[in-house]
Amino acid sequence: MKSKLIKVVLLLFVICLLFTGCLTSTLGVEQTIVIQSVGIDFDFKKGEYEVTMQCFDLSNTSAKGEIQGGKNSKIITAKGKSVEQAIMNTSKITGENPIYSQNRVIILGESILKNGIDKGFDVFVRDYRTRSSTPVAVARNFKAGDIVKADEKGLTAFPANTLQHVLESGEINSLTTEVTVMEFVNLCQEKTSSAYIPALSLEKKDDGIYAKINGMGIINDQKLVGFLSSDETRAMLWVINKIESGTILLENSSIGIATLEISASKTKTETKITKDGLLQYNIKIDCSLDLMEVDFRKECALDEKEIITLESEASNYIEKEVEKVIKKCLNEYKSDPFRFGKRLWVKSPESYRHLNKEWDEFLPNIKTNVSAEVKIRRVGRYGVKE
Amino acid sequence: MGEKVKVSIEQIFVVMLLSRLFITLTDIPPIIGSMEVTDYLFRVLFFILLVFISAIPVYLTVKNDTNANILDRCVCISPIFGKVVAFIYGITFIYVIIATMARFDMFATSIIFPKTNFTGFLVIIILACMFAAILGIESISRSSTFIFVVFLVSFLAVVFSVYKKVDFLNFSPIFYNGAGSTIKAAFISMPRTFELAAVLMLMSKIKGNIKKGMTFWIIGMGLFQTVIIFLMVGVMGDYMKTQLIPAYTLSVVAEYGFLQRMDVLLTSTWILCVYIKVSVMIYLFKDCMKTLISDKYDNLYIIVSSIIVSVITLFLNPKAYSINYLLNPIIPLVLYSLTVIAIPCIVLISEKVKDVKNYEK
Repeated sequence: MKSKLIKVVLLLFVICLLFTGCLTSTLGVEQTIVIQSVGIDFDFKKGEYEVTMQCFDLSNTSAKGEIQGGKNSKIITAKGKSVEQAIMNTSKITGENPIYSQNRVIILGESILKNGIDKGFDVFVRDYRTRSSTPVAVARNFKAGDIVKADEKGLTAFPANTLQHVLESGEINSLTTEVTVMEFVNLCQEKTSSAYIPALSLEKKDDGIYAKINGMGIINDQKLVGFLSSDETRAMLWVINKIESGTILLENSSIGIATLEISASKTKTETKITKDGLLQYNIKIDCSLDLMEVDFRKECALDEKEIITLESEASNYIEKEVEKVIKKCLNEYKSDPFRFGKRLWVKSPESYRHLNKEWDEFLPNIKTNVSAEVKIRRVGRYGVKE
Repeated sequence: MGEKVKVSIEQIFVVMLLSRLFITLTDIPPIIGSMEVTDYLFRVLFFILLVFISAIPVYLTVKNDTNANILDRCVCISPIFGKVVAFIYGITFIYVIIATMARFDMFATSIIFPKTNFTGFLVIIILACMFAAILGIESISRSSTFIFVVFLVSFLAVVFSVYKKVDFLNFSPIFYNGAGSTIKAAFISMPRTFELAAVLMLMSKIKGNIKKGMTFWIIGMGLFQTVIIFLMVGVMGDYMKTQLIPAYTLSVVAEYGFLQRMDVLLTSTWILCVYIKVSVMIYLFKDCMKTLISDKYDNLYIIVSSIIVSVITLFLNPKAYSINYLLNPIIPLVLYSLTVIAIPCIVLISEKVKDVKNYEK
């Protein structure tokens, strides 16, 4: 009995040794800054990084987890010759240790992306404390720090949580898609592909300034080459098979103004080398739509013929939008966010070996053949003729 | 000579699988030539092939006689040869323990406790392993069955949460830059499979068809590696080349609904894999010392070996270059060639010669 007791006590002692925190034992929670979102800008004049962090304010929460006095987050800005140094420089002002593991969003300023992503982003790839699943975004026309400081409109506990939800809203509206650190770096690492990254802007309203999604940034050879609008982003998502939901508005359809909701979409891209040695990509989009709202023209109603016409109009709309965005990326931006080069690599490694070194120059020569097959599944009851 | 049968082949199969899995999960992608991501998948194929080929002497040794382990058979050939072999095996098992602890230290201090001095924790693990080794191979194999179930559940949870993220466009053409680098990488992985040496040491204590068990083990190990690397390539693509331990990164991105920290689940089971591996190796070291020195001091060898390993671990801990030295492919290649290929071959040839002489007499 006695020996058993001794064993239990010894075991408890050993277990106690294992109850350590995830940081140095000398620092308690009260000396820790839990980073919620990070915005990084680059000051070309001083050659310094400016890091703006939204942090969880532990002093403003009660033991029960209730938030006291409204805001539960603090904004901290610091500068440094590297991003890591800038983040650690916050301890000069706060005396607290910043931790990244709870970071929800990384926002990069245009200045960072124009300077080249190989500088200023390495910390999020190399540092063991950051998470590869954190979403990344670019601040469009504003500083990344301003986006981090924006007021919150969502119904979440933290402003950073709202930002995270905004970036995930592609699942609802297909006007963006979440790009994590892992996906972003993977695209940047691919020799011929260009990376894409959701763009956030600010919108001034009566009750504050809010961050909103504003298309996509295109990064080629580690640098930002331009942006796509929200509609162009959706068209791009069609090509890369990342459409999940969202609506299409046909303003001049045969029946009037029709709003259709995407219920399902699947894109297949076939790589073909033509007889004259050119590259052709056949993009086939299969899309199911639901008619959600119609503003009928005079004396117009829905019958089978009209629905077929509407399907054809929706199909034309998708094809035109997709062709437009492909042209813009390949010709204007000389970028390949569609991973056409990667597809060629997989399909014909030898052809890729010849082309990959001058891929950017070759991009305008690529032929695409877009075909969209649209099926309207539900039309409702009102206005339907037999 | 003949020892009482104690452990079933299934249990040994599980022990060896867990022991090798730790190496697989903490695998650092080799930077050899210009391997593309899909080539890592083919590295497993070559690795399995090489392991099968290098295991032929072990298969033949097991086929001839399982009543005595490799050391007993060496003593029968010549007592001095038996002691030399016991010394080589002993050194090998000590090396495996130190290399495992160095690998675990590197993994833990890079990912789990980056800012904490991990030495104390390593010593606690060695002490726990020492205790397990004192209890014997039966208790190690019993606990490994339980650990295997826990590992399998956590592994399946990660697989289930990442399989939807697999993008087939992340795969590269096979051997785009030639197969040379892939074969070289497989050749580096092969000698980290010291479990084959453990089979030679444990064969007299195993109940069941060892050859069949070994075949299942090699195939099972290959399957696990294939699934892990398939998911790593499919989910991460070229990103895996930027990561120190890609299997851990895979567990980080394995998020399912509100379950967002799957990495904790998986890494906790990895520690248990280390526990099994080190316990078995300490236990085998004891057997080597029994042949080399004397049968009398059963547990003393375990305690002494644990102290030696703890001291070396403490000494090596802060020196990254020492860890690199330990993980260098040359040392395991030499030890593997000796313990898995050369010594069994010598034993087989000597026994054959002895048989022929006896027949002639």
